[in-house]
Amino acid sequence: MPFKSFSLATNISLIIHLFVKKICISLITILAVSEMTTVILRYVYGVGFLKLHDIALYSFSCLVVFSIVYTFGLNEHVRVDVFREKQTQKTKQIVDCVSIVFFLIPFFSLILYYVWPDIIYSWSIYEGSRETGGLAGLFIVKSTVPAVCVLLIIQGLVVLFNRGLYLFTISEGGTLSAKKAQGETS
Amino acid sequence: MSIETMWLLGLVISLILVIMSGMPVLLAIAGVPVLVGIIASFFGHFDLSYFSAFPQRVFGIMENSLLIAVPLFVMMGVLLERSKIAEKMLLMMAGFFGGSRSGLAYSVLIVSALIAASTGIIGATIVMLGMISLPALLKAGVSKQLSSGLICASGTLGQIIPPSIVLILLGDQISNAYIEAQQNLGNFAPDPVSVGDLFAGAILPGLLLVALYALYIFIYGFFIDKQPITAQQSADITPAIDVDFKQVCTVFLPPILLIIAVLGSILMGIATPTEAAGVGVAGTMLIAALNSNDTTNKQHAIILLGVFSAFCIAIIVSLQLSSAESSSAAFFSVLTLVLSAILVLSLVLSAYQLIKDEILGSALSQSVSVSGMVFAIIIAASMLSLVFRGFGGDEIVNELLSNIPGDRWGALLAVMIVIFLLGFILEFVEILFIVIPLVGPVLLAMDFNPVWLAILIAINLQTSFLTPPFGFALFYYRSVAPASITTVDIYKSVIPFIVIQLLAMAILVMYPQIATWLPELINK
Repeated sequence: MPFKSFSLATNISLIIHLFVKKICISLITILAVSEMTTVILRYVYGVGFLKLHDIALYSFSCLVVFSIVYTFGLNEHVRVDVFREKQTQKTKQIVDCVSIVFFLIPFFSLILYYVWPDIIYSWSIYEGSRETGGLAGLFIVKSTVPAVCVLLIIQGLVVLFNRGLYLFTISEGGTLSAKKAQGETS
Repeated sequence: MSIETMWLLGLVISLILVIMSGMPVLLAIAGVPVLVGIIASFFGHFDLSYFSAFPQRVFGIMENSLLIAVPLFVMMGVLLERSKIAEKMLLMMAGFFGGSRSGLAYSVLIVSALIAASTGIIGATIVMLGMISLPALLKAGVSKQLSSGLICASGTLGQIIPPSIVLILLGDQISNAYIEAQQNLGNFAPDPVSVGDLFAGAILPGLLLVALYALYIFIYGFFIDKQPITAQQSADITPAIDVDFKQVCTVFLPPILLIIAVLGSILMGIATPTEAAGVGVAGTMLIAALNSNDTTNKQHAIILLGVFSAFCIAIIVSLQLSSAESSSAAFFSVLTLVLSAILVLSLVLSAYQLIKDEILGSALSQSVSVSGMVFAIIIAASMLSLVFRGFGGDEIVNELLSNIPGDRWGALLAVMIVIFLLGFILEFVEILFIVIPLVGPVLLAMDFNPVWLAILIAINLQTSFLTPPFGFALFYYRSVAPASITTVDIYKSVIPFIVIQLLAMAILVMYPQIATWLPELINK
């Protein structure tokens, strides 16, 4: 367990968050490097590789969904806080609990339910790139959607378990300051 | 009132309430439609099979290669911010303007117009401006009202100054609508409207907006903001930096050249926005590494050599010296090989230096979290529009529009108001794809100029990003503004700029040549 002072649920959430962070940083690095390589190859040498294009596209596709989990973990999704600024800490936590029970869990469960047939089909044919000569493995890219739904539901449940406190919320009592513990500054 | 209208009304009202409660906007605009849809299905008023189309929409967003530029442009912005180069650039520009408070505001406007033009993506631009220029503006004593409004408004300039994604999508839609309208009028060979026409048409209106913003800064500094400059502030701003030639070369020139390269390559149709963003990231890495404090002279030299190689490669490629027709093709091919090897080496060295300075890792994770926020809103807005259509919202809008009284100006005004209002809840892509196919053929059959109409719609959409409480520009700005700037402050700060937008639209209606002159000149 990374931090003994935290509950099991918080530790699970933290492990997921750090894991997703690693994935996202790898993905954005691959995206940037493959995009720069594409430019040099295309404009300097006049050659293009469909597989390289697909590497960029696939890493982007995975980044789209995984980055949502990372941002959620940091509690950095945008809020309209015109009234939130005046809410007490308790009201804020209630609002966040409500948002998870009524919106987060239904929305991502719904995606999970409706995306399932697509994923099963995609795996059954080992779906590859749309372009002939492209990269195989699109079925793995598509599978990130249900994976992310599950991760977000788990992260949401942990927030619920912590009575509306996000992983990186420094509460007034200072009970849950994983942000400090990890030395994260962003 | 039909039962669907009741549900739609319920959807909109509950959406407003839930968003105002302060929960993440992502959960509100994704979750409320789901909940309303499920409840309505119990009464048999909503077909749950609409939801089965949603995964395809998510896959569509994941495969949208236009969006690949988002994380790359964000990374470029974060790196520019971390290397402090943009701050130095802004301060130096302020130096040119005499080191006054308004001077810094003008320089933010000019720099942000350039940046906005090169990215064309609202979220990335505003986040970048908020991080780079807001601290400098506040430190120099510019009021938080002017700085917030200026950053939000300048950030949305990317929508109107070409190249912009809005204009590309709009060009596609307007051209279809124009052909349909002309065919209905009996003209079976109308002149097509291209995206290039819209790009050319948008340049002058975009500059008009910049000029109007500048006028507002002038008026604000002269008549509204009478606060005296404190000693601390004046120490911070005057004289900003003693401008000498060497500093201009190391601080000011590289980013400007980079922005021009990124913008120019897209404008001239050489590179796609994604490729240009890749160039932008590479260039920013080199610039940031050059500005690092503890590079050895040897490293410095190699990186500078890399920058030099990049320029040589650009010249060789653009003059096509290494192409087969050239007499000395073999020589130039070997030369580009060597030069690109040096470039790659210097890029690797820059990356190594930035990792050592602990800049790269944190820049990457910040880019991820900012991109995550943008993607989440795009996906959630897609769910909202799906349910909106599921309740027949698009048909209701269409029906309302076709019953508007008055001549063609009445219809135009009504459409503009509808787009403006839809901008409060929908993403611009959804508005384009719902509204333009419905109203475009009708309006264009009334003998409006298609380019002019498209630019008018683009300015309108740009305005909708600024309108509280659902202006997406404000969401993005909120995510980077410090807590000392309240959300109410932000709302108040954009009001003058919304008025300016409306003024610009009025000017464009009175003088349509502003939009139509340049495309006609190019087409001649």
